[in-house]
Amino acid sequence: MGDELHARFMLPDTIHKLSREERFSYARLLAFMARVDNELTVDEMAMFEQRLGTALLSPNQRSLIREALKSPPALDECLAGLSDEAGRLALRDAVLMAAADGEVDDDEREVLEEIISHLGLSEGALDRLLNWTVEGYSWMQSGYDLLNDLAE
Amino acid sequence: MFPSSLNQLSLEERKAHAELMVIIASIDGELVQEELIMIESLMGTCMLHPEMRVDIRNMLNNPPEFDKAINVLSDVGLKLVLRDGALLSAVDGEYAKKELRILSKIAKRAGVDKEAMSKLFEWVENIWNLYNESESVLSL
Repeated sequence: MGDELHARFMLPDTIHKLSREERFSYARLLAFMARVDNELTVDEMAMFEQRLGTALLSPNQRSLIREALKSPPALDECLAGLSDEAGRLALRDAVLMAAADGEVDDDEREVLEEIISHLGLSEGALDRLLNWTVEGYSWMQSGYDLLNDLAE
Repeated sequence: MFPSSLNQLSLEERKAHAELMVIIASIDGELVQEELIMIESLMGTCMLHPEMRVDIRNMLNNPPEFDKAINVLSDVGLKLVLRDGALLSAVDGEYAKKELRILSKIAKRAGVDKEAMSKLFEWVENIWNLYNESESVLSL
């Protein structure tokens, strides 16, 4: 590969382009998602912290969001602060959060469907996002496989 | 963005990982927002303590010493730095010469040859397609 990637692509994410308030609402939704099954695994926590980092929240906002993990806000409250675009990004990352521990349980699926319905997306949206997530996990796994190959 | 075993490294290694990300991001003399976002995201994945993150952010203006940071890393840590360094270097759309030079230096320490590095760069490029897919699913 040469020195250049496709220059038109920058960081392939747009969370940081949302308003500060929307990024905060986005993070609150992820906090809600993290607690849906009443368990918070290390993988979910790492994913959650990673998304807070990507959202470039201020340290103060991050503290508030971490508090929200202890007593999550109501789903309606989280959704109310999100525009369509922010809602769709939050949905995508809520799917990632839900899948972070290796499976999406019924409660998580129900919440995701509720978000999809709130956003007025098509019925197949969840399956498409889950497929995309599985692809992403495979991509990450292929990175580990590659790192293992490098050692041989 | 996808799960990572970074948080399985020791605290010292995770800190060294973050320090090396700072070194890589600042090596071409300019720090773009995308690089900053990726560093914040990686520090989140590492679950570094908030105070430690402040220390890392302060290093953005005054990067730490490469040798000091890299000496802390185990074989696994070195490979994770190489992987994330490749992702970080690509985030602004191109690999600068200085970035490629430092990645080669890390690869040498990790015992990784040029052919393997090419595979790593191809792997990095794949994420672009993957993200484009999510944008198509969600009409972003």
